[in-house]
Amino acid sequence: MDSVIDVIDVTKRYGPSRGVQGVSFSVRRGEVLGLLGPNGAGKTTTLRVITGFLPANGGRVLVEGHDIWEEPYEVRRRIGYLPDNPPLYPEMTVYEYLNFMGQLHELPAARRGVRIDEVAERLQLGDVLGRLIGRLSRGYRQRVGLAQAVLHEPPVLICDEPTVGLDPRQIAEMRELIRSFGQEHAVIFSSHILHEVRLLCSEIVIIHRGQVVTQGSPQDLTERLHGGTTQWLVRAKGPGDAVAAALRSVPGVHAVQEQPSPEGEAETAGVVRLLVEAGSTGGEDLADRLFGALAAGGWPARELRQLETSLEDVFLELTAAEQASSTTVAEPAHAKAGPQRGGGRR
Amino acid sequence: MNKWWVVARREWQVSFQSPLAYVLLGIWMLLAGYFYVSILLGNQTTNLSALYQNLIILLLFIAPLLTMRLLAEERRTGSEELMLTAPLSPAQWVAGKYIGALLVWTVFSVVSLLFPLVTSRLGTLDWGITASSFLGLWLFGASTLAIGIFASSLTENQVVAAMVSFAVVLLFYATTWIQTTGWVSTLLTYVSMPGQLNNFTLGVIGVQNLIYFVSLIFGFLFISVRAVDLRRWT
Repeated sequence: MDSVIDVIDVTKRYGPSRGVQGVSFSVRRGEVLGLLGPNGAGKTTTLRVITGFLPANGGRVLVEGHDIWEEPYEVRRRIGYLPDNPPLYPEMTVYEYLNFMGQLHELPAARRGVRIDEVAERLQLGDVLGRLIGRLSRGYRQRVGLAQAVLHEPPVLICDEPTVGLDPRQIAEMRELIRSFGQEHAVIFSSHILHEVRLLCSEIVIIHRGQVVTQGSPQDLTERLHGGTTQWLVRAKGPGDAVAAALRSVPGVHAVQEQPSPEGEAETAGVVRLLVEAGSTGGEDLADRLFGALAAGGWPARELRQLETSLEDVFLELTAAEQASSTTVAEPAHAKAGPQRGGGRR
Repeated sequence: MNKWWVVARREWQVSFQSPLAYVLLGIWMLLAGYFYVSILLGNQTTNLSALYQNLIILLLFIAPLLTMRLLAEERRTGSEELMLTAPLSPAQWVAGKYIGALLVWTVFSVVSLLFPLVTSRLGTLDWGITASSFLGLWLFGASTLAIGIFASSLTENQVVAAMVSFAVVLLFYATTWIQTTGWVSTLLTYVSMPGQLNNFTLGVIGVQNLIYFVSLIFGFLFISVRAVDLRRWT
């Protein structure tokens, strides 16, 4: 039991239709878990239950073995939290604010000064320590929020949509920071952007309308969707039928079919374009065998590569059944209304 | 260091970074000065208890403005979420906020000691009555702040918070205005703030008057903490 945080069958209800149900996962130190789902799926609610802000209707949250409801202070001490749209105090300077949060997290004065310097350096806040938070740009505020969350060196770091509202360069920086913090903390972060989750996470939980749709590593999820098969694209110069027949006879290959060239791209004369479906086992060997089959026929290979199925497909497939919802999943950096959304529980 | 003190100190610093505290302090001193001069000239007396009674009325209007921000703003901006997920209990948080506001109010009340000071230079002043009147004023302010923080815990709208606290304080102020007899009358007199303040303006510091104000303060702080806590369950 080396996981830092265990979320066990957490359920939270608001009214008849909202909330989350049966969310379970564990995160170890050095792991990044992504909570993925369209806006309004229940990501923020899940994170709020984990941080102890909202009481759950069922299930448990354990941080290093401490239960959030039995020992709330032991848990809160171990969690760093960056809420959606980080709520900072605009009338304080960055230094005052970090010092204040450090005091609340019981950092002794000497250690506090050291930590503020360390964190400021790592998050490149050194130049703005004396500036009022209210005057900072969005990107800086997000970093101050992150600084506050990691100041007391919590084993668990929780970030709610940390890249929303940032410009592309800031998004890249924020992702890099999350990745680097993921090496020393157990990180849980939420996002509605697939690409981002795939980039950063070792474990993904897809949540839709308050339900966990599926979870696993990025590889698991793609494999699960395609039932353990892989797809290969082969382009070679030669007669289509003969090439297809030769490839079909390669061990491990299930099916071969001719593929039209993508729109706007004319295929070179005499070159066939084939889609090969094979078992997921074999890997490199299969590539060798496919190449061998082409070489044996004397057909020069132009291209031979495995097609990657994207998480996008997984996600769309899993949530397509409930197409009534207006998901904005595939749109990166889709701006969403921040403050109103967070406050919707009264 | 106690966490409520960390919160109180922040509150104190922030209060004097916004113009609101200065504007209110200016209004407070301007009107108090006006009361002072008019009462002194009109009554031809150095007894300042009439001045203190008027300051209490002025406070009815100013106290809600001092407290409306406290919890309502945190809730509106969402910083409440960070506070309640930090290793800090709601009681420590509310207490810190209250103490911070109380410090600001103490500045207001101490500044008004200018009037007795001036009077004592010009004539003879009964320091005993002045001291007890001052204590009465301070306690009255402290209880209106507790009522104000409670109102602020109910909403994220500062204007609503100010109006609610004004209404509640006014009710406590005006309970004896209704004409009744028997035990109802006794009860209303006991609950009434001016009734409890009478002794102070006469130079008497009664234990039961102190108990009244202290229990009012703790009562409202307690339900404020409950309000902050309960909101998460709904």
